[in-house]
Parts: sequence; C-alpha cells; structure tokens
Amino acid sequence: MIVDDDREIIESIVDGDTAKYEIIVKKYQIRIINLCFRYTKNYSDAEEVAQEAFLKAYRSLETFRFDSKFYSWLHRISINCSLNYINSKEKVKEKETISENTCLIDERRRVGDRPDEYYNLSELSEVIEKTFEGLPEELKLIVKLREIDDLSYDEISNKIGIPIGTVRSRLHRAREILIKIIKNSYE
Amino acid sequence: MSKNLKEIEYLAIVKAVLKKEYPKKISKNFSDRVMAEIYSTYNSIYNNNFWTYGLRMASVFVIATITLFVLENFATNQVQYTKSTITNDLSAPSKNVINKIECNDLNNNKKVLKDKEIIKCK
Repeated sequence: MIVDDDREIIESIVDGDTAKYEIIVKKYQIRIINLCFRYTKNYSDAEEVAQEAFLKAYRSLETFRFDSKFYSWLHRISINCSLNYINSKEKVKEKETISENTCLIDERRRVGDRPDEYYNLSELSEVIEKTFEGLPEELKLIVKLREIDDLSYDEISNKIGIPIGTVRSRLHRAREILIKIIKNSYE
Repeated sequence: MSKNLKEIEYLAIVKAVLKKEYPKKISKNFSDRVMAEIYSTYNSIYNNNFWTYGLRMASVFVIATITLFVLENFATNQVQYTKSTITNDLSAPSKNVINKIECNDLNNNKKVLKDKEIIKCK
C-alpha cells in the first residue's frame, strides 16, 4: 500500500462528506485539464472531458484501494475519458460526412470569453517562475523537492539532513510568498 | 473552508506551473461546475452509506431473532417429558439378561470380598 496525502480526504468522502471532493478537484484540476487538452486540442472540450473524468473518479471512489497514488489513478481515468472523447468525436465526424448536416457543429461556450471568468496561466506562469527563481536557495530547494519531485516531508528531511519541522516551516514560508503573487493578481 | 479552498487552488496553480503541466487558461468556476453536477446527480452514492449499514444491521438482527425463535420452539419441543412417559418407562418389563448380569456382578463382588478377607487373614 502506498502512502498518499489524499488518503484521509478520500476516506471521509467515501464516509459521506461529499463537500471534501472539492479539495480534490481544486488540487488536480489544472493538471488534469492540461492532460485532457493534450488529447482534445481545445480548451472547452478539455474542461468537459476533465469534468467527466472527475465525475467518473467520484463514482468509483469506493473501489480505489490505495495500491497507487490517487493522482495516478485519476490520471489513468482522464486518459481513458480523453480516448473515449476522441472516438466519439470521430463518430460524430463520420455522421456529419454521411448526412452533410452542418447543424451538428458544436457551438458550446468557449473557455475565456470573458477575462474575469478564467485564470490566464500563461501570464501567471511568468510571474510565478520569476518569483520562484528569486527565492532564497534553501527555500527554493525545499519547494523543488516537494512540489516538483513530489517527495514527502520525511524524504526531504532525510535527503538534505534537516529536521522535519524546519522542512515544514521553510515550505510554508515559500508557499506564502508564491501564493501571495496569485492573490495580488486575482483578488 | 472557502479561504482554505482558495489557498489549495492557488497552490495547485503554483505546482502546475513549476511542473510545467498547465494549459494557457482555465475557468475559475470549473470546480463549482463539477461539484454542482455531483450534488445534482450523484449525491446519494456515499450519503446513503449510513442508511445502508443501518438497514443491513437491522436485517441481520431480524434474521437472528427469527432463527432463535424457530430453534427455541421446534428443537426443544421435540423432547417432552410428561407423566405418562415416565410411568411407561417404569412399567416396562425387566429383562432377564440384565438380572443375570446383576447376579453375576453380585457373585463377583462376593468373590472379591472373600479374596480380600483371605488376604487380610494371611
């Protein structure tokens, strides 16, 4: 069995606390939408497929046995949903060709019609990267090990030989600095 | 909770950017849409767990009670000790074979007693 940060949240969702699923959605939405976008090549379709993946994961949450990390499981579900989307899209295309029915063209609302309705991540990424590069070395290292390499607090503590409490406090400081930038941009 | 959720969302943005796994843009209300769909369609999946569990426990209790009742009434009622059966047993004819054995036993006992007396005398 694998140690998973999401285990406690998932167990309480299965016990009936549905509201906690929002934490899961918020935590992984960007990476899952990005994954779906690689298949759909369209933002609104990517969000639709990602939504389907999150719903599918919610439906099957009871069957998740923690044999892998939750994100890996969600990742697999999202790939399956994306492949299903591609297959269905191809079927629709075939139908369109046969019937020559132009009314079948998808006229769903596009993501990003109004700037206040979406996060412009290409703009935001520049600021975040710049701030990350400007962090003191000891904070940058902790952020890299935790957020990019996905190491646990224990692993980071062992790797760089500092107490786990110091790892936590440094990470907290770094996160505060990085989050403040997004807050300033959007609040 | 909402402040916490916002921080989780922002932290997810930071993580996605640092991992370079992000699309150019994403709707701010994506999670609201997912949650609305869950509440409208699937809310009953895990909320019913308590009732399902309660129902299971209740059915187990009912089945156990019925089983106990059946065992109590049918298994123990098969042997009924009444006055008539006891008198019948008493009036049953005795068998000679048993008497013989009893006599033999008595004789044997007498023999043993005699032998013991002999030993004592010695």
